[in-house]
Amino acid sequence: MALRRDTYRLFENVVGPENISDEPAVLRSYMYQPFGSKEGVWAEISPEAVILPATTEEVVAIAKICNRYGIVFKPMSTGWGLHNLPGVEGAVSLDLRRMNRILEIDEKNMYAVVEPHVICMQLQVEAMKRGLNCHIIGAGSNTSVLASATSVVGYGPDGLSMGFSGRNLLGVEWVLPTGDVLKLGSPGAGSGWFCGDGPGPSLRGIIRGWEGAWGGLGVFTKCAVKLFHWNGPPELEMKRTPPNYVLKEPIKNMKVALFSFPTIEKLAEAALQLGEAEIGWFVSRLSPSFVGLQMASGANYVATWQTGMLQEMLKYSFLFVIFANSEGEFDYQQKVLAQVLGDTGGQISPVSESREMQELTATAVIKVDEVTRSCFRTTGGFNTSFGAMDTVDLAMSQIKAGRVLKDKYIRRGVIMDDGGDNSATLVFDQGHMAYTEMLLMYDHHDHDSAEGAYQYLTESNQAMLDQKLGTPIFQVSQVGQGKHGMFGSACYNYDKWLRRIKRQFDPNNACDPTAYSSPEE
Amino acid sequence: MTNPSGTSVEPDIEIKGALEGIVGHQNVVDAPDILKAHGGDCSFAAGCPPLFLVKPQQAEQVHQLVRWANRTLMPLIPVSSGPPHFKGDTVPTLGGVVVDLSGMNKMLRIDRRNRVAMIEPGTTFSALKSEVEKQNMRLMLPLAPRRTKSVLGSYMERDPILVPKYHWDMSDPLCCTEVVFGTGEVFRTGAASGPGTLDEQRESGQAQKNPLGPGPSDLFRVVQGAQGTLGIVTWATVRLELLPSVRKLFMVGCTAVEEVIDFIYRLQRLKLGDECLVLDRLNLASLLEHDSRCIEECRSALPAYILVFVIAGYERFPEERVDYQTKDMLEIAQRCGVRPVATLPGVDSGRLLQVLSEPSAEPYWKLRYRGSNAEIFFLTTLDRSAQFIETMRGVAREAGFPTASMGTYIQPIQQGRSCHVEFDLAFDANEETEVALAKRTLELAGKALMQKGAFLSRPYGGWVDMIGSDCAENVIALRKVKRIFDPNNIMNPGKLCF
Repeated sequence: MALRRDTYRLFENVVGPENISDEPAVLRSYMYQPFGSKEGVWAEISPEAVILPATTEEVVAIAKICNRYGIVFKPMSTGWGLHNLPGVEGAVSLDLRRMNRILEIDEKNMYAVVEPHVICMQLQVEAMKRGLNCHIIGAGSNTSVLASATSVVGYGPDGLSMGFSGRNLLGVEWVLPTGDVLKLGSPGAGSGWFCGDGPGPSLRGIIRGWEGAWGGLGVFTKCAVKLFHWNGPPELEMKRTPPNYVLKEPIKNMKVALFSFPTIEKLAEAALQLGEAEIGWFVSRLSPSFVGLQMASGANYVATWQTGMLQEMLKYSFLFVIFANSEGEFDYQQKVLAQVLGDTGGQISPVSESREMQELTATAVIKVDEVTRSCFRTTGGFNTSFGAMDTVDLAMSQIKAGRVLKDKYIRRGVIMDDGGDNSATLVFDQGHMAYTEMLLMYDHHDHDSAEGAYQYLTESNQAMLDQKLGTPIFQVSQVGQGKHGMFGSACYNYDKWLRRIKRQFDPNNACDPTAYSSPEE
Repeated sequence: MTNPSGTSVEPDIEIKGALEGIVGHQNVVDAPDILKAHGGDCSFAAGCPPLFLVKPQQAEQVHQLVRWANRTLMPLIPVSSGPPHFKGDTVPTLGGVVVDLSGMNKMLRIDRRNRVAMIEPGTTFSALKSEVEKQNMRLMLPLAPRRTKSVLGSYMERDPILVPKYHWDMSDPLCCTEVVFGTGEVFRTGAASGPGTLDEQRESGQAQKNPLGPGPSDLFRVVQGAQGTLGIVTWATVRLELLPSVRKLFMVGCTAVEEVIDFIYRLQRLKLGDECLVLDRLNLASLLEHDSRCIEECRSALPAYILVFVIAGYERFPEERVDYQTKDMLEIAQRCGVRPVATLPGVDSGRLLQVLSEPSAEPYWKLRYRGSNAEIFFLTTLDRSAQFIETMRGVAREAGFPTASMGTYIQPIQQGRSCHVEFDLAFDANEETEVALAKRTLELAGKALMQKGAFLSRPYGGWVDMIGSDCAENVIALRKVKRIFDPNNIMNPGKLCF
């Protein structure tokens, strides 16, 4: 259903003719989504138009037009994944790329106020000039700060010291699906952006939970996120050329190393001990395959993998980073680390001691710029599974379950042989919480491979249900409407509450419910 | 049907029978003196006695009570802490039935490996603290809570804790909850929601640590700060931390809080140290001494404001941890031009460490100076705290309230990103003039502080009207939330904007 011209002109009046398009070629470009499509790289549903608002007022005007004329809208920021596109015919996309300003960095109170299209790298560069840093999610530094804080998930390998995106959210400006504007927390009282909760009950609990509403409950036009102390240089000097650039010089009081353990249980024990001892800046359990993917190009990865060296040396390993604020703290953390390694049979891996690996890993842990390209470059298709957050022990249970399940599909030859266990396990809040995400690579242009990956993802969701392993990370893009229906009934019918929220806050169902929840029973 | 406002002379036999059927004969209270005591508290909140008070002993009884209240439209006012109450949130506005949860006080699980406890709402800080310490862990305390204070009552109200570095999120240290919403439906928040029973979850390694979800809503956050207007929590898990084995207390005295703000910022930014708070001389003396004479004596030796902070070591090389942190702290202090000391005239450091580590001894510290206390608190950032002190002092002068009877407490939260600022007005409840002055001062203070940008994130009593006029969109949104979780408005009606 094409957008009526008179309606198109209403939108055009809001943003100007240069900031709206329904040209087929433009719309087609938005449909290119290598992540989340079941097969291939193209979305099945096209938006009717793409609108690029630049201000909150423009977003409000667009939402009001949509409510008035029964048009569904779907916002997106950096647009990384199929879930950013409308899931229903006849909808318009709100591409928020023009809202890309860092509005404020409050150095003393350690937070930044950002618009939706500010990416992590942009914020990190500005924050570092002020001796601060930001949490960057595993999907990489090119993702929207606001999207992971308000709308998506928010796991990142620096979670040991810099938390989880959803918990780093402070004040929020929210354009409701109806077009009304609400400021959550302290900005609503004109008190600054330092708090997102209150007065009274926290509406943060309505806009997002462990995951966000994926653009299904209005548009978040500004938010404040926590920043954290950065003890490194105000500007990172790099050498070589992107994407292979690395730090020119080691950073003082930073130590990056891979440690191997005799069993997965010992690894878990070490992660717990280091967390509760309150040391460390970054910890990420990395599978042999994951390390290999980060170290080498696609062809080199295969050659290295086939030697069996990675599997031998890094079966149960994690990358651990000490980044201290003083020499005294650095020495103390080293001492504790050595004791924990002694208690758990951990050993530094020779892989991590080469100068090249030191440069590579130190850069990667700061900039979080390695993960995405590592995931896509071997087979083109990538997806992820499991991913529930609770304890380190739950993370280990997910690794065990995922390994068994993936082996089955590897033997069938439909997904890449990465040893089965290709997981990333991250620890948050100084060991208080942890999660595991089990990655898989497949050929999304090959029907059998794509179908196999889809079956694996469906089966992994079922395994989480059967083995009581929590709720999986990516149900939306994998099993569509099945998401909340599949887990809602196993989790106190939480989907029922989402429908009630949707009905109250979006009475016209104007904001695309596909990735969130339909108001209908 | 009896008027739920509790104005009928004779308690309704039918209602009493229904309540007895749910919680048992012995757990329904209609003694006039007890009901009268619940018709007011130490705040200036207007209210009326409840019709009955019930004492459920298990979650299923709470569930039945809420379903019954939906059928009868009887207001329910949940209370988890013992008296005295100071905020008016547990005083019935429209009569109804007080649900006293103090009997649901089981400590269901204390898990050393995952540093978490699962407790019922009647569990007090006193009770949980001793159990937790047996396993070398500690509970995050607000400042010297009264002995009858419920842990969940405090955490549900987002009371600030003393150790900012453990306050990652405004909701900390609360993890998962089981809640009976006003609709009568039972829900579990966070990882506890499933899949699986709690035992099955534990089998897979879980410990109900993750507070978030399930899915795209954090309903625990919605219930937090709601003053019992959306539902009743029947158990929750809470974060625990390692018990320090070595602790060193430091103080910095100053004439104005501005003198220590940069130093606090730096400590918090580097997550250096554990407890960290600023008290004025009245509040510090009230914490240390037990009667007004001793308080006067103590405070006369104290500087106007005192920054108190603790450096601690835990299980691994505790002395070395304290040593490096002390060295780093002293370097920062030098740069900030402050001189931390281990002792101050009039302060027994050992006693102060103890005060920071346990519930208040009797009498409750806020009542020691004049017998009664009225408080106003809000959130701001540390760099603005001094201006609010000035505003409050101006208000007190304008109202004629003696500034010498006003205590100040500043608690950095969210790892230093903001702070709780509290003013405690000590007065004699037997002196009408003092009562009137305290009441007038609070009224003026609310308006003046809000005008200056104070964020009253936990509004009680009359502050709610002030919030409502400034945050109309928030009020509209909160009423939508109320329609979702308590459409019949049976949960503590009359509170907040409901």
